Amino acid sequence: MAEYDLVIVGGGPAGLAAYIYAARARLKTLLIERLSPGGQVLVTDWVENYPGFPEGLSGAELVERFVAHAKAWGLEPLNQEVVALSLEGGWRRLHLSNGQTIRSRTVIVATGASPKKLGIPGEAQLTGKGVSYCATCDGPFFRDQVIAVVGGGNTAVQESLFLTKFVKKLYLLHRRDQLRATQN
Amino acid sequence: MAVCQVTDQNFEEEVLKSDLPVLVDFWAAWCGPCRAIAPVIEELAEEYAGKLKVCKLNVDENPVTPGKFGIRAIPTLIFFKNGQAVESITGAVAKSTIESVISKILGS
Repeated sequence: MAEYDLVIVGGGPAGLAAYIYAARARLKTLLIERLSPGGQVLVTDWVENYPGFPEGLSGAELVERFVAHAKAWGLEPLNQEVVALSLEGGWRRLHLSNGQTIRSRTVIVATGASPKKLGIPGEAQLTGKGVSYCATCDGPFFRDQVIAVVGGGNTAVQESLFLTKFVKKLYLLHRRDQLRATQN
Repeated sequence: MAVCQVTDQNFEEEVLKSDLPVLVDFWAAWCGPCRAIAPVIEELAEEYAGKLKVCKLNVDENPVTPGKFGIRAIPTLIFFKNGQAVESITGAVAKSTIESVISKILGS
């Protein structure tokens, strides 16, 4: 059975940073990611608040750099989904969706976040048919249409600004008396 | 088998008239989640070679076909069998989710 000092679950910025530290510390390390490494920043169209990149860069480019850095330290991500964890003496056992298990001395869970759903009727059925969670992916499908964005935080406002390049009219639906997004 | 690239021009020939069931990944270069699932799509093409044809269609370069299938989000994966769209998955999902749909299609 495969045994590691450390298994990192999740290949976003946190998981990749953890990998670089662990590999430099000469721990036998495995990073498991169910998609390809990158996490939510992969779908961010433009990043201009990450130190070291004063001109800004796309989320995808930033991820490419993270992955190149981790690969320089031997990263070979395992493309699997972890479905359960259990304890076994001094070991942590990770159960994968393909039925395999892996033992590790330690585990870092860096599985990140996913978009909050509205939880309203029709949302699931209409996902991909007018309901979207990624402006940079789906904005071009809504060219010259009237659309609504739900939320008043940074993501909602940044995605709305991006969408103004495509749409005829955009309504921003939010709950408070003012936007929660920071002014830039 | 490698992933085949389909276009508006050869979609009917490559997908609708295919003897094997076909998985089509509708994607674009500016779509982060599409990049995220790209390696999974390539693995599936290898693993199901001879049983399932796996193709990619760039929605930027081929606007007609996505319109026909009402695609409003990418990545969208549509499964075709005997010229009919039988299942679809929207968004970047885990490989195991795609595999469960494939086994349903190959089994039926």
